[in-house]
Amino acid sequence: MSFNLLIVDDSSSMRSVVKKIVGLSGVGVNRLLEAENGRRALEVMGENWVDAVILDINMPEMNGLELLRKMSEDDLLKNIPVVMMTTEASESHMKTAFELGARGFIRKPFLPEEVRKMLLGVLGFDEKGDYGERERDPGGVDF
Amino acid sequence: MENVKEILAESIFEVFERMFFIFLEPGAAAPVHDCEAAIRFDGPRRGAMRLRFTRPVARLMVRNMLGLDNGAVTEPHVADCVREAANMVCGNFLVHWDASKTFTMSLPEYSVRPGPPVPSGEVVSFDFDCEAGKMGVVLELQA
Repeated sequence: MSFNLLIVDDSSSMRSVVKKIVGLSGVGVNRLLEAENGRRALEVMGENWVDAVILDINMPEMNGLELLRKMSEDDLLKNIPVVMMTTEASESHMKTAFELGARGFIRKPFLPEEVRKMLLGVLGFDEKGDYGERERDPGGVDF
Repeated sequence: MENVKEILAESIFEVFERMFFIFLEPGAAAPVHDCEAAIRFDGPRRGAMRLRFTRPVARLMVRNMLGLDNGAVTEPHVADCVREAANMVCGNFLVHWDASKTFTMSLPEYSVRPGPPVPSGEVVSFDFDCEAGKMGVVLELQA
């Protein structure tokens, strides 16, 4: 089982770090796609099958919450699991993100294990890394 | 303001230890900084934060975050890492300060050879040493 993942962050350094973590996570990755803002992410999702999105909020052109809103209005995109990975972690931002369908949340600065665990959860792995034994629920924060 | 100072210090340490593997210690101010990232925030309180670095510290951040050799570090790497550091420290500070309040942050702006800061409002500042040199943080809070 391998997945196409999309990392959306305006920082190329942060995208590189997340790619490394994903590469070491044990998750089978077919393609690691990148986008530097929400507008570009929509283009990437229009051209590629995407199994999960890791999404920053504070970005130029179209921020993460605007992208989530667009995805929630699109029948082809609204069921793609999205994990927010952001510094903007106020309760209201997170409430909005979860209302728009985000499945999980990682606060920057993060530990690599937090990213791995969240990613495995939204892709349907259990904590041992076995696939399909549980529902796709990362056990995220309740709001 | 004492509370703000403590929260800011914790936010800085957390970002630099987790994301850049740099352990900061309080130190004297650098005579001059080589680069800076500035970010503004708005909400229940308005303000701005500046992170200022000597060149060797900025390059160490890139090396540690991206796992690059010193010779592979480029100016775009430095600019991106320094901007992301400002993004993370500011966001981390605002969440620790009061996660129940909603703040919006600007996109961080990078500049080289910044002049001395001309702060306004209430100001909290720190100067740090690390293995590679010096850095400073200036937080301005408007009334």
